[in-house]
Amino acid sequence: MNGDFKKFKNKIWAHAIIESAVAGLAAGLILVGALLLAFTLSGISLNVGIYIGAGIGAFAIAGGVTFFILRPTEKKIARRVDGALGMNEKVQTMVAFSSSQEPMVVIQRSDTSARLSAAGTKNIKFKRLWQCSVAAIVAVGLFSSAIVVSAMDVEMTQPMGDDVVKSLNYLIRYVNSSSMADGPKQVTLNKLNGILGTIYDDESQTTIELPRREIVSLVTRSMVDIDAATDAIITAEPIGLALNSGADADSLTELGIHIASLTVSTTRTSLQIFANAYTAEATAEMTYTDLSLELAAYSTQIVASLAQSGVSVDDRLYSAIFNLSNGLLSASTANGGEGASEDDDKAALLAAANSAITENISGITVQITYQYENRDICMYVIDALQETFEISDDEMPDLGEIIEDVVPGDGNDDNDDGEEDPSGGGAGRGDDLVASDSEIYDYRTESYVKYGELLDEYNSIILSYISDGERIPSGYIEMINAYLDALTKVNSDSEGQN
Amino acid sequence: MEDLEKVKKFSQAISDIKQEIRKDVVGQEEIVDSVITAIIAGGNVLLEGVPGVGKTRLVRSFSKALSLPFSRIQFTPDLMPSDVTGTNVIEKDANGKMNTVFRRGPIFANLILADEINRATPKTQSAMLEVMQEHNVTVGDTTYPMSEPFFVLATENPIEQDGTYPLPEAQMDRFMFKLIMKFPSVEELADIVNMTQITMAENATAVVDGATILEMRELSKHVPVIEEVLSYAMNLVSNTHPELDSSPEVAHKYIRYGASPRAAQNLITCAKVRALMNGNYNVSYEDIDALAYPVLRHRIKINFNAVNDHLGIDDVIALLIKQTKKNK
Repeated sequence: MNGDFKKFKNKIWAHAIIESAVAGLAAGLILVGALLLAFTLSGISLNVGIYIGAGIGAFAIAGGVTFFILRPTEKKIARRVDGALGMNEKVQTMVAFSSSQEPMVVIQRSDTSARLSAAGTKNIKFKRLWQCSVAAIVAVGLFSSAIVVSAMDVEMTQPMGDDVVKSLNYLIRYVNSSSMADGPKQVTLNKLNGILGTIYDDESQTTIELPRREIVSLVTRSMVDIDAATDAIITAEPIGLALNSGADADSLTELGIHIASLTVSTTRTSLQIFANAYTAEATAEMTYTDLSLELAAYSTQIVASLAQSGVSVDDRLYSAIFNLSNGLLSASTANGGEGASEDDDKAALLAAANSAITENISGITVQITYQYENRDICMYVIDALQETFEISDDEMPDLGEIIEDVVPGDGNDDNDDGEEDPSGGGAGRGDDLVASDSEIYDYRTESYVKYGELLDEYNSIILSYISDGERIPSGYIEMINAYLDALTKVNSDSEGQN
Repeated sequence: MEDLEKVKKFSQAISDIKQEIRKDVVGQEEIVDSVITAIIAGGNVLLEGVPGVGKTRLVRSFSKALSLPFSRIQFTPDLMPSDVTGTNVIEKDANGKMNTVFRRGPIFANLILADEINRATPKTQSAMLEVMQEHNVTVGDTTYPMSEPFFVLATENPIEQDGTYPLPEAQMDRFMFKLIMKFPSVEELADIVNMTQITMAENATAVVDGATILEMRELSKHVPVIEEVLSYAMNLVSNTHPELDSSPEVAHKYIRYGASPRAAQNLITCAKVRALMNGNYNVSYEDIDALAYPVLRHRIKINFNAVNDHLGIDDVIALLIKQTKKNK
């Protein structure tokens, strides 16, 4: 091949390769950009590797096809050189007759070669420069737009199908027919109907399009509300009613559990048991001291439980206990601590206490926490809607992270005034508060300790409550004072005896 | 090397001829080039021009520059074929014997100026045209060949058409070119007047001879033509035929009938000569385009549509070239 022509050929081949590469790159960027844009707006997330693979594939195919089309044959090269240099078909003639040795052809070849040598390859410019530029600009523009849209995470709206509406209606019927209490049930129904109302236009009987992000947010908020609304419902119900309704241990507060444990298939409190047990006949042989100690034992339990639970109880109960205690002590004192006074006095005291207790027992309320399937309901709704709207687990925040479990009876529970109860623990964990005459249960160490070990501390704790008159009923204060005095006396007697 | 010398000699000869012609003919470069092309290619030229533009002077100058005998035939309606070709006459020899002798007519020269050929009768025209085609004259049963190179430059007076016999298309086809000699410009006219004030005689001198012209003719035949250019030329001629489905719309709309295959032959032959004249050693599209006008304008007949659209024959040829290039 003519050496001068070869230089032009090499340059034009290089141009063809570059143009093919640009075409391939443009095709790759356009394809990746289009895919990214389409899937992002559809809310579908694809692996990065898919985009890379598609881009490389498009580059290879488009680049290869372009090069195959543009591949410069000697004829094409000759034509292009003639056009670029204004050679009037000299190069084409030279190439066409390259094998001829006709004298005129040889002269023509020599003349053309000399002209090529003089011209040089600098005049051979990119033939498709503007096409390559346009393709590159379009490709980069589309790709950049796709990247920007992806970053913005714009979501297309998603049409709701009939299945969604059916699922929600099913859930609503399910909740409606459940044994959930009215309050929590209504909250749940309101939320579910709220979701239904957002996505379904009852008037036109058509579903509404919503972005998936909004769906996720709507479901999450509703579930949070349902869970929050039903999780910590604590109602104060009369203990008798609660016990009669067959509330199980899981749903009763610890006070209720304790009281229930003290009750043997009856609806009476330990005080009433005391009142009923310590009838005139039963206490006939008991000294007042014994009686007072028995009362003290029962009252200690109740007082401690009441103090721990922060339950608001009628003052008359405290008065009844106080009166009974005082009466017993007085009677005991009057009788020198020995035996009972007239049966009538004792009977009268007991009757009065019993009456007061009976009258007030119905007023003792117990906190019952409803946990009727609320979390289950929430998860059921979440699962159903996730499946319908094709929402992944990653998109749904963990409800456990949003709502803190409120476990009643926790050691850090707040009382009614929102202050931390320092006495810690809750009463009625199923264990007796009083193991023996001289020991009492310490929740902190979860063991029984002698009165004497806790007395000072217990005294200061109780006194700190007493100092806040707003929180403690006045009758309670007086009772506690008398209680503490009695404990002090019992303790001294024990030490004296020892 | 020998061929390179021939090529150089060719270029030199062209240059010398032009230089000599320029001594006697002011302007008209295109006409001069075309006549040189036709002479070398071995064709004849039909020259159209008003009286006094220098047609006779042109041919005379050429005859001087080419060292070729020149003959001028003024065609008139009463001119007989024998007046052109010659005739047998009876002569008494020295012995008093009566012999038949052929007296050659004015056609027996190398360069012939057939002035106002359209004034002659068809019979005389055909006699002339036969010589142009065959390069010989047949009188009785004897054929007298013309001396090569043989070149006829016929003229037509575009003004006086009354009493003329326009050449039939078949006869027109025998001319390689039809050239139109335009009226000189003011500057050229001034030069003509200045030049001829001194003497009317031609100043051109002999620079080449007939043998050189024949050598140049032979050399030009070997100029290469690539397939694409050849195909382009053939398509151009073919596109002048409206009856062909492949012809462009221009042909269907403006042409009555198209050029003969002789046009294609002339196109390529002349293109080779032109290429060499311009210092090129191959035929290009430019050569074909430039020669399309003189080759085709007397071979195509335009119809009334062209006239109605104020399109002349050259305009139609330009459209044909454009269309053929587009489909290339």
